Amino acid sequence: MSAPFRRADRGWAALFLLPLGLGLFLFNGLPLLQVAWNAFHRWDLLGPARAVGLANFGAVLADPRFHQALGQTVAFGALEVALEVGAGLWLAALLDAPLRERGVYRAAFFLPVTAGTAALAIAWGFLLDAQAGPLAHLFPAWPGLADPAWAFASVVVLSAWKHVGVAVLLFLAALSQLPEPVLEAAKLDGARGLGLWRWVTLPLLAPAVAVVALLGAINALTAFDWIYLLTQGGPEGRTMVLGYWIYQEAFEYFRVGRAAVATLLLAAAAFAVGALRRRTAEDAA
Amino acid sequence: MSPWLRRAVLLPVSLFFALPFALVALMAVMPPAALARFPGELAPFSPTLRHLRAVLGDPALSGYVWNSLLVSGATTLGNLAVSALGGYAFARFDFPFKRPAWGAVVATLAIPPIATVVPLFSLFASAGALDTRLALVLPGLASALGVVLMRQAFEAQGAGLEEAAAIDGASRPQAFLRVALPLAAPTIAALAALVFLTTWNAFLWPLVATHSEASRTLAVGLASYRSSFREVTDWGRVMAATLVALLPGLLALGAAQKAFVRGLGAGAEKG
Repeated sequence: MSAPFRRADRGWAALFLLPLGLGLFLFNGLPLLQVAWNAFHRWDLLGPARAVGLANFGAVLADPRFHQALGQTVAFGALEVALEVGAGLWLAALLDAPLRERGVYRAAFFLPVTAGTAALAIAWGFLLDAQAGPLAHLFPAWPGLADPAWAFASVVVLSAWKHVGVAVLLFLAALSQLPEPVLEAAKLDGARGLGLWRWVTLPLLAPAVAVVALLGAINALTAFDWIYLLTQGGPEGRTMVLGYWIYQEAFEYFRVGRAAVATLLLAAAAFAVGALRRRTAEDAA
Repeated sequence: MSPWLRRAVLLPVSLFFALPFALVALMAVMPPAALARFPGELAPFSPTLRHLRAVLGDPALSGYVWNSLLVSGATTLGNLAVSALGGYAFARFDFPFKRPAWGAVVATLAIPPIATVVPLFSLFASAGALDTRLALVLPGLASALGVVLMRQAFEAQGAGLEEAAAIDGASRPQAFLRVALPLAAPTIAALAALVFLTTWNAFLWPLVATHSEASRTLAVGLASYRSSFREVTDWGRVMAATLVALLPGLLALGAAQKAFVRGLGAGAEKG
């Protein structure tokens, strides 16, 4: 008979933690450190790197394309958050009552979540194509993704379309956990329909709204796939966002230093959103 | 609101969500003659499997499918092992700097893929491992989400049964493998589906890390059709390949709709 396990068994603990620590350090931590180093160097991905002090920061700040990308990332984020929260709440509210085929709708909203953007972009690229697509057949005036405003609207809507299924699920879960007595009391006081929603349900859903909004912000901040696949940042730079700008600087113009400066900004924003999420999670708990 | 009023909204909205899937499935089985007239004209046709057979017979496309299967399968198995071991350590052991270590693990959740892609490229380039399937597998092996889920599962099941096994003479690895892991099967299944789909659908890193047909995945292979729709001559084959790319997600959603949706929802909430 052996002794029960000790929680302070450091040998086993170290062994169990080794693969995780190694993986996270090599492929997450170390790369971030290298981004910080890259930001102060001039490097083309192939040749030797050269220390250039703050030159990359100056170059990025002076680049009008970067300013455009930054502004459009903020606009992209605001619209994506509004769409995900708005559509998510609306659809969850419609689903939050008995309906025989409820599961079918919920699965439909979740379809795009399980699919890869590359595959979805083939389908949407065809649907929206100005020459071959069905939309162009129905509306001969449809300009396709060649029109800057329509292109921007399309990638925002598609990004929200892909993710809103998660928002619906989170809102449905939150709706199912609302305190019944509070709702009953409000109804007894005469609250009905939209008024009940505006003044009782919505405030109770605030933590879920915050989670969905922060998820939407991350989706917008890291948007890349749709833009690479459908618009390549154009037309006229109207769909250029931070994620695509970084990719282009590094892998098309080979200006790794400038890409790294923008990456630091992106990572800082992502960590801020992550910290906010943890705080809302703790508040909710 | 009356059920019929709600249906009047929900039905068209769900069609908007299902539309691209229906389009892909339709065009993938359309005979060439019908495809040539589509979308100008949609007449009844008898479905054909010729495009799907053509995909599997096309050396490039079938290679992409094979690469996607290998990379996603290997990443899933590896990630399950790493996540289970790490999650178990955080659930069952006390060790120095445990709280800051957990903080560091959770913080990596916030690192977006676009932030690490350039350093990963240079890391694998200097190791001479770019454009290999191994380069697509390694970065996905350790993930904070997996560890978070596994730690929760192990903490929820408690250590009681393992203590009993210890008294019966089980060693630590035996308790882990024979007691803790089987009890965590539901979480392991959800995590496996999540990791497989994430890897199967991954785009940015495979795009950057591979350039030859020998290592490209299906997602990146599909992307080569982007913005050259006018030059596409064989829409049936493109849509059949797209259908194959959509298949794992559809299967996962169909096979275990309720459990899967709940699992993913929980993951997204925690992630």
